[in-house]
Order: sequence, then structure tokens, then C-alpha cells
Amino acid sequence: MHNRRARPTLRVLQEDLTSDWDSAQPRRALADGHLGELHPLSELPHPIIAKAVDSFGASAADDNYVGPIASATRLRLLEIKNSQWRGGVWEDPESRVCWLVVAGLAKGGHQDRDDFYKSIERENESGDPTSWLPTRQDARLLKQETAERIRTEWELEAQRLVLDALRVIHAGGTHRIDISHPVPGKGTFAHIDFTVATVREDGYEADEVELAIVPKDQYAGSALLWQLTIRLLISINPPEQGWDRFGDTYSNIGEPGAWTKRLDELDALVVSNELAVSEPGSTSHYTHRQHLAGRTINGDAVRALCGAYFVPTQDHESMQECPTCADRLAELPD
Amino acid sequence: MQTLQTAKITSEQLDALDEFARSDAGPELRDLLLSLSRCVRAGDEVVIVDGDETITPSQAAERLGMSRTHLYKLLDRGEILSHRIGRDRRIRLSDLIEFEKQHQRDRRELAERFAHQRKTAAAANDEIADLL
Repeated sequence: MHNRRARPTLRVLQEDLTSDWDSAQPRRALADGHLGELHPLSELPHPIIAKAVDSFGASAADDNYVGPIASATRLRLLEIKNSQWRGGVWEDPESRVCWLVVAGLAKGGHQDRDDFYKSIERENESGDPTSWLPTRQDARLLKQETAERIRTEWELEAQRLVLDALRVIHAGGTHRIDISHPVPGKGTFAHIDFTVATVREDGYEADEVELAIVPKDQYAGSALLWQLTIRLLISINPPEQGWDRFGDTYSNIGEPGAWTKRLDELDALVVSNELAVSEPGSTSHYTHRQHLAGRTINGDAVRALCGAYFVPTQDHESMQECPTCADRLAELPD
Repeated sequence: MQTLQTAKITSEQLDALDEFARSDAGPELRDLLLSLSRCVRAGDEVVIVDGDETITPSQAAERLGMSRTHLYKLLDRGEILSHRIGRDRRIRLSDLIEFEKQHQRDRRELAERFAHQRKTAAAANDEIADLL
């Protein structure tokens, strides 16, 4: 389940890798406790981390290291070298994940007290080298990275299912999409009734899309359900403000033929394994002045004169004025 | 039914209204005024109607800015309450407003979810990580 390629422990990042970083950002994130900014840890810009990943990749058959570190008799450590840098990698026998658990510089012909080999010898004789093993926090960061990968694959799959459904109903009809939980073996997560209705009323022609998203009870209100919902909506139509919602039902109004047109765009994304990106509103709305400051900071939505909801985070000066808002503003008494 | 626009009322004026409501108004008027000022502050539209007045599905669709097809779907599902007069359907304005209130809450939440996709993704990652 986890990618086995080598990754540093937090202890190594904090205590062992004190110099030679290609960027100051990871050390800053560490100092500030922003551990989420370290992902993925295997790609942090340090020569010994790069060497560790190069030596211990996704497949054990391609492992390429110097050999076991002889002085580490209480913990099996495999040695890697990159110019002056030395590292010890421990492979977790259960998960098979390789951890860079110790690193340092080769110094003074291995006579210096700070020499990498000397400190391993010292820890082996009078300390506890197992204290170098990954902590719960290290394990948590690994799980988050794996979760990120699983989530992305889940969303790609959801996008693909939307494409499959749209192929059937782009010109009208209903199709059910079944979504499994992202974690294997967890069964069904939700089902979606996806409808395209071709409306041809006098003076009004549109192809209306409706998505009824029905989660299994235990997933109602979860972040995963929101993640899925947003993914489905963006897959169908990226402009955020085109979507309407009532409860678990989401709808969008397209020009006649709009969803047939979407097929090609979505197909290109699916083929290139890319997720569609949502498009925030491209017009500038009017709203009640005193709401704005606080809302921008909190990220709460406000209601515009035209009735659209939006979170005022963007620089609106550069955007085109919303015509409906402008009309309504003109109607107001001064 | 009269629709009042509120966008040009300043927060100072609303503060003054609140102060009046709290000190000089009787309990019923106070509740009315405070909920009015709350609506205005939240940027909601304020509508004063006779709640028993009924309208046709076409009028309701126009008022909600949706197609009749979509409105009939909502009526069929019971998301907007309606009753029949002979073969025709009628919708009580108070029921339409009840629907619209929930509808606006839902739309506001959707706009926030679109704006906070990174936060939702991080929380979704955590939900997955907890199961690993």
C-alpha cells in the first residue's frame, strides 16, 4: 500500500541534516511546525535524501547501496554515500518502507567525534539505536502521503466514471454511478443519479444537468463526501458559479448541446490522467460593503446583488463587472 | 409581495436600529427588528409577504429563476410543498420561502466549499489516513 522508496525521519531532518540544503524552505517549515509542507518527504532537496531515494526506490530488486554498516549490530542499517554525506537506511520489515534513520558527514579519517561512523558506534555501544526508528509522527506523515495518493486516484476514477456516464446521457437520460470507498475493501461509498434533461419550453431551451448524490449513511457530512461532490461537479462543468444546490442535489443549466461538447474536453483530461480544475467566477460582483473585510479573512461566502454566492478572495478590479449586479445597483435609491 | 433591497444600509444605521429595538420596542417588534437587521447584515434579501397567498408553478419557477421542468421535479419530490386546486398545482408563498431559505444556505455552503478545496482535500486525506 505504501510506496517503499526511502524517506527521512523527522529526527534526521531536525538533528542530522543541518547543512547542504538546496532550499531553506524545509528547515523553515520544520522550525514553524508546518509539517504538512514537507510532503512528499522523499523529495526534500538534500543530497543524502536524493541518494537514499536513488538507492532504495519503489522496487526492492533495484536497490543499490554500499552494504550493511558493520558497527550497527543492534539495528540493521544499510549504508549510502554521497560525497561527504553518509546515511543509514532501515527497511521496515512489515510495511517494507525504507527509512533514512541516521545521517552525517564522514570526518577526520573517521577519527573525529562527529564522524558519522563514530556516532553510530557510540550509539550502538552505549545508547539505543532503536530510538532512531520512525516515530508515530513519522508514521502519520507517511500515511498522509499514501492517503493523498489514494485520494487522487479515487478522484481520477470518479472523473472517469463521469465521462462514461456522460457518453451515455449527454443528449438526455439518467445514469447511475456507483462510487466505492477510496480505501480498498471498504465497500460502497455513495451512488449518484446523474440526469441530463433537455428542456424545450417556449422561449427557454436548455440542457439541464442534475446530480443526486446519495452517500452511505456513515459518510454523510464527511470531508470525503465533499471532496467527491466537488470532483463530480468540476468534471461536468468547471465554472463554480454555474452550480446550484439544494440538499444533496446539484444542478447546472447548459446551452442545448453543452454536455455533448464537454465530452471531448473531459476525454482529453481522462486520457492524460489529469484532474479538471474549477474556475472561480470571472465577473466582479456588488455586495454589501461592510461584509467584505471580515469575509475575505474568514473565507465565508457573501451574496451578491445578482444572487450569486462567492467568497471574496480574488482581486476583483481586473475582472469584468457582473451585468446583473450592475443593473440591480442602478435600480437602488441613493 | 414586496422585495426590499438592503445593500446601501450602513452598519452604523443597523447598530442604531438594534439599539432602538433593544431599548424602546416591545418584545414582538424587537424580535422582528432584530431578525430584520440580522438578515440585512448577512446580506439576505428581506421579503414581507402574506404567507397564505398562493402562486402557480410558472410564477414560482420565475421567482426562483429556474425552469418549470426543474421546479416540477422539486414539487414531485416534495422538496417544495404544493397542493392541488382541481388539476392545477398551487404553492403557498410561505412554503416557497421556506424552500428558498434552505436553498440559499446550501448555495452559500457550496460556494465556500469551492473556495476551500485545499482545506477539504487535507481533511479528506486525514479521513483516509485514519483507516490505513
